[in-house]
Amino acid sequence: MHLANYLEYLRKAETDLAQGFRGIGEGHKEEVDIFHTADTLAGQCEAHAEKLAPFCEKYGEESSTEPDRLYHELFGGTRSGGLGLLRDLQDLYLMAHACDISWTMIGQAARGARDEDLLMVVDACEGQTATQIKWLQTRMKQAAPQALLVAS
Amino acid sequence: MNGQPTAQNTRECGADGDLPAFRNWDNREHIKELARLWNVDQLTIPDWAPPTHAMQIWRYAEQGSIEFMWIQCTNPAVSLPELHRIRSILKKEDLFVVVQDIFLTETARLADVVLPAATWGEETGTYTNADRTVHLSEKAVDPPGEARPDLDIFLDFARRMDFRDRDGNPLITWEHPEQVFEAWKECTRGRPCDYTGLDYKKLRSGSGVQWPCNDEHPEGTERLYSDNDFHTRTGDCETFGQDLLTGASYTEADHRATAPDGRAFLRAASYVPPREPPREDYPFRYTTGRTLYHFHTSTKTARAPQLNAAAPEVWMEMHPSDADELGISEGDLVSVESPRGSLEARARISGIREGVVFVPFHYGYFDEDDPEVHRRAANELTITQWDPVSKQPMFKMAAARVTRIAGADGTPAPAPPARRE
Repeated sequence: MHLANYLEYLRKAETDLAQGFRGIGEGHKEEVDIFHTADTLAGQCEAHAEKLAPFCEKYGEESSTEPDRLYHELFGGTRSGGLGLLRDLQDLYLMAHACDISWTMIGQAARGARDEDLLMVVDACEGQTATQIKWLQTRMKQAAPQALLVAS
Repeated sequence: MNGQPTAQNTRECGADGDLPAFRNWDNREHIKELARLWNVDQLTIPDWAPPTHAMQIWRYAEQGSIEFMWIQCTNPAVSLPELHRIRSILKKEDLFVVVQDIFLTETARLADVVLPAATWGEETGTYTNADRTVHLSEKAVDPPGEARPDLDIFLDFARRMDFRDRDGNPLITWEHPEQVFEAWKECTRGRPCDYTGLDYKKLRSGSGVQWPCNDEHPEGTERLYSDNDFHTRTGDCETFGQDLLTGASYTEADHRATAPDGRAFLRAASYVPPREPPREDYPFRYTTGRTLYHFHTSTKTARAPQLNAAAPEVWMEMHPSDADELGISEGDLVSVESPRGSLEARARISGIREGVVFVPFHYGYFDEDDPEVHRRAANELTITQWDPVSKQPMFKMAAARVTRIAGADGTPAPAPPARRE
């Protein structure tokens, strides 16, 4: 049974994404909308990770010893300036997508396992992850012309 | 729904960064209509992202990627949050600022070029009220000195820039307000704000008329949506919507999936606590607002003797128990400070909520003895932050502290009488 690996992976991905949001907020404090929104979204990700914890424990006992190659580092600290902001947002965009597809997979497994508690967690969280992606996309689309064409 | 007629008609016609006649920037058909109407290449119309809002424009100017700003009929050096920041951006060497207004405002004082403009009664044009009533306001007297109607300034600019349509003909073909109105009517055809049934003759023959006014409603429309049919169809709507927490744009597919079909949407949003709650060193919730006697930054109303006499000077309102605790009595001079700035005002002890202080935002510096001393405007203290959907700055939620500076000498605060509850 490999569900535990996925649950652990998602818990770590959400924790990393929370740190990414906090990092981008702090690193681009002068972009006040990003500072505030990123802080709110970091809180969402932390709550997601927390909600996953009991299921990591529950399924962890049956965990396989498959070596874990799911992890990859996407966000290595904030860059500066308009272009830096764009690239930082793009890193988070990829990280949020990793969470998004993991929620889908875990939702599938939860259905197969008839685990209603886990399904409730998936239902509550995956919509927030989808909105995080939409926000990142909206903000990047807004920033791209100025950052790529005009800013020095 | 807008607060003022000028806000209503500037939003309708696209002067606030939205597209004219409530067109949707994310709807290719709407963009095509505009391109046809103006005979321009579709690519000249910026439709790639939501309009760049004012707060973001200021940020780009601060960073230096905007080097030219033309400010028309608004006074950000008093009306925007965190005024020291706004002043420092306006003063930047690498930002060329043009201000077009009817008086030498606080903003105009910081401009590189001032374009003196005419006011109502000195120029002809229509206003649309917040209830959609279109009024014609005709020129009665010539503008003073070098002041020119705003339209003449824009037309002169277009001529000098030699703007052309896609056939190489002049882009702007109008010269008079009535011709502009006729062009605007075409732009509104079939849109919620349909003006096609109006003309100057009709507007002169009676009072104002409420849009939509067209073949179907030749005398205008007093009440909207009495048939419970709203402008929410995907091809018709002004926006596909946004997430209320983050401002994330919904796509056409998202919108279509909700099967709007003329139904109204009521969206719920979860409570989000303010970003700067009161704390030990800044224990009050600081909020700003208006008095009946002044309009916005009082550019006009402070010059009207009767209005100015009714509310001549800034004041701060405070609850009696908060005042007791700080030893503040009616009329005492106090300093109000936030992490960003401070002001001085006389205290009005009022029925305001405990823990909250209020300062009206109308007062700036143009009528002060020394306009370089900045201890009066409410927005010295406010926070640079805005609502993610409306982009409205959050003027009502800063933290502040209040300190008594001097006694009242028996005179009450210069606040107008409290309104009756």
